Amino acid sequence: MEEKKNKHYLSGKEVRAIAKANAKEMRRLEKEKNRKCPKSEYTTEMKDPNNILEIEDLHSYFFTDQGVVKAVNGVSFEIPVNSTVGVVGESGCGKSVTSMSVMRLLQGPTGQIVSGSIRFKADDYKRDEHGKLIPVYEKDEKGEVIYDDVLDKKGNVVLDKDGRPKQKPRQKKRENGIGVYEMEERVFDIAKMPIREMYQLRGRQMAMVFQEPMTSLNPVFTIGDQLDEVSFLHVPGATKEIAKNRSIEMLNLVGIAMPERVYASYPHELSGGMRQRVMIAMALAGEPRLIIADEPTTALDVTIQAQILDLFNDLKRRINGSILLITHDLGVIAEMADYVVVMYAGRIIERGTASEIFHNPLHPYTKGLQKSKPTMKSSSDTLFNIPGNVPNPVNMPDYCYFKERCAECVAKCSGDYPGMIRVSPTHYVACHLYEGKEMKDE
Amino acid sequence: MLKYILKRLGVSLLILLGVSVILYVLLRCMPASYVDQKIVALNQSGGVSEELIAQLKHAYGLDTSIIKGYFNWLGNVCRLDFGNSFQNNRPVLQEIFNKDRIGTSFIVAAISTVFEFLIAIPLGITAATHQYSIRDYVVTVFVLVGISLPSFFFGQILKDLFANKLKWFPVSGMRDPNLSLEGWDLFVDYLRHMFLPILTVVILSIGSRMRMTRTNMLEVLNSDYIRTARAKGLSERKVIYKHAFRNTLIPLVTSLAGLIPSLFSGAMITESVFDLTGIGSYALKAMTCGDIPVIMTYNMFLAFLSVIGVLMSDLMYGIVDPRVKLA
Repeated sequence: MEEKKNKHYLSGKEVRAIAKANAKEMRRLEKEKNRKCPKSEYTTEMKDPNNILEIEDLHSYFFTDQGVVKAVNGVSFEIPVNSTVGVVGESGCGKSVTSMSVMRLLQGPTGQIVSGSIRFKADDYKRDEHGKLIPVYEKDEKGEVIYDDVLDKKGNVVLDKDGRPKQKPRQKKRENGIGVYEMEERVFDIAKMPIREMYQLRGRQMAMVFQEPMTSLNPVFTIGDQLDEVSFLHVPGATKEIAKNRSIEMLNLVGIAMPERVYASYPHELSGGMRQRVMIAMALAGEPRLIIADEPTTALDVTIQAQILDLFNDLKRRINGSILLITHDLGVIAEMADYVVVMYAGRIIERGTASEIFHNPLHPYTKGLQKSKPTMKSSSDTLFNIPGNVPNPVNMPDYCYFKERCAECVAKCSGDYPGMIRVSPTHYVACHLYEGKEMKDE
Repeated sequence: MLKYILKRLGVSLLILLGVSVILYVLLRCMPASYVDQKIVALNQSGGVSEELIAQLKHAYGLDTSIIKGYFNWLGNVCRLDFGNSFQNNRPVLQEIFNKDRIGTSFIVAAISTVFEFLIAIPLGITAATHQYSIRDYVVTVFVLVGISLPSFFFGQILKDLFANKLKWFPVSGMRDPNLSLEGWDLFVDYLRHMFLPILTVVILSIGSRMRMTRTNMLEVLNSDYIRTARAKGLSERKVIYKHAFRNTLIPLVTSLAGLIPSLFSGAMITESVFDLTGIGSYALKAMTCGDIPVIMTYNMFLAFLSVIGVLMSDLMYGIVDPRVKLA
């Protein structure tokens, strides 16, 4: 056993065994992803109706030739309606993989959600028995549906066989001219959904802003083309004109000065900050209830960063949505988040409200993270850093992953991986130091 | 844009001049010129006087120095006189731009190019979208076999199988000499004769284009903007055929540069295997017997097409990739 630990290479036999096991598992999961099944199979109930997203015991693995990388290894947290949840952690701790899992964007066949559930409360269009959308009609004071005469292209009234003007009910419209349809709330388990069904959720119910604005826009289509596409997909009955108006409205919303000009430009003609705004506009065009922002400000300079964050805060209020904010920047989290989730090596080690995490960090890793943040007040020349590195993701130890780097290690740390300990109604920590300090339920 | 094209054409003229110098010098330096070969042949049937040799050399214009010879040739070309073929003394232009010569080669090349694109690009896309699946492996192996087979070998195998054994297609030649066909029947007979050569060329050329499509597609499919397109809620089909394909087209368009001359250059070996009177086998014959006017004209024609091809692919580049600005 001792010998094996020091070995940094794999023998041909081992590689073949890994590849064979991986191929089998990947085939099974890919098949599941492309299967056809009735809606009931992935429709569930939320545990708490105030949440929009509940992730429970999520495992997302990458099947590589060196072995299975457990990038996300049993993550559970929830996002309450109309709040911002920040996920922090150093590079490679599984933040982005968690967000990609929610969107089901893990690059297959190597990246797969292996188990767990992601419950999402979707606000979907209600459909009649033919699968058609049901429009909402405008009603007068007495509660009766208003009828309009049907006009032909020239504006003349169309008559039916009896010579009476043809009439149709007037559909309710929003200020931007988009028709209103009946909606219904449904809870889906995204982890079990066939990938085909995800097309309905992506962009409309949940949208994502990626960390690389420079490469995240298709270089051969104009901004307008790429924005319009979202409206064509997600606004029922969208015409070219509606789509364009909407795209320009979105560009205005994200604070782009000359929306008409940007609409007609190609991505390479815009600056990084502009492109990130376009990405955000694209995410908003489908009016999602959940925006996943994966390090939205990492590639931007500080002044633009502040503007983009303001924009997010402003938008959250305006569209009444929730934000899942992934970042490694504690400053961003402090400014934005209501709840904070701290991840380390694919697991959650601490979570709680923003003030709990910032004023009362419990886990030694969270404390270390905060200490390593430069501040104006500190007088020392060197920054604190947490010694050591994240353990090798292929062969994770079965004791606490942070043990080797931890300054407050106790004897128990060599034992099993610590469970989640609830120290306040909202504050959880996974560390042996806090055993026995659980909050008692009365 | 017009200014750019004119500028490029001007530069092309210089390139063509350079090409012609190199070509002419090389041809004149060939170990056995046309006259030398003729003298050898005459020697076998009896003695040849020095006088006759000098006469022959003079008649074919090989008695001048290389430099003087080149300017003679250039002067004639400027007067649109490309000279006569040494072999049969007929005007070179008539010899090359003949329905049977370049016409045959062009038809074979054009039809096989169309099929090559129609087959190779979808194959490349499926191989890329199903990377490391059975489908990918089958396509890759099939295509690699195609790349690896030499055309004289593969052509002979097809000929033996479909013409000699199964008798589905004629063995060789351009038309059936025993029948006098007309109209539609003649056309069908022509197609039957062309089938095997075209099949050979298509199978042998699919490989490289399919590999290229597959590589480009894979690169594009792993890029960030494809992830963005998926995140929008586009179906996988739309992601591949709209967002990814437009980007895969960019490198494919650059390969157009080589395509235009290859349409007219003829498939030397395939044409010889199937006894077609294409330009490829004709040029090969002209080369071996040192027929300078034919080789010069033929190669200059190809050089001209190459230059035009490069210009066209640059122009196309500007169309498919908005990041490229031509000026």
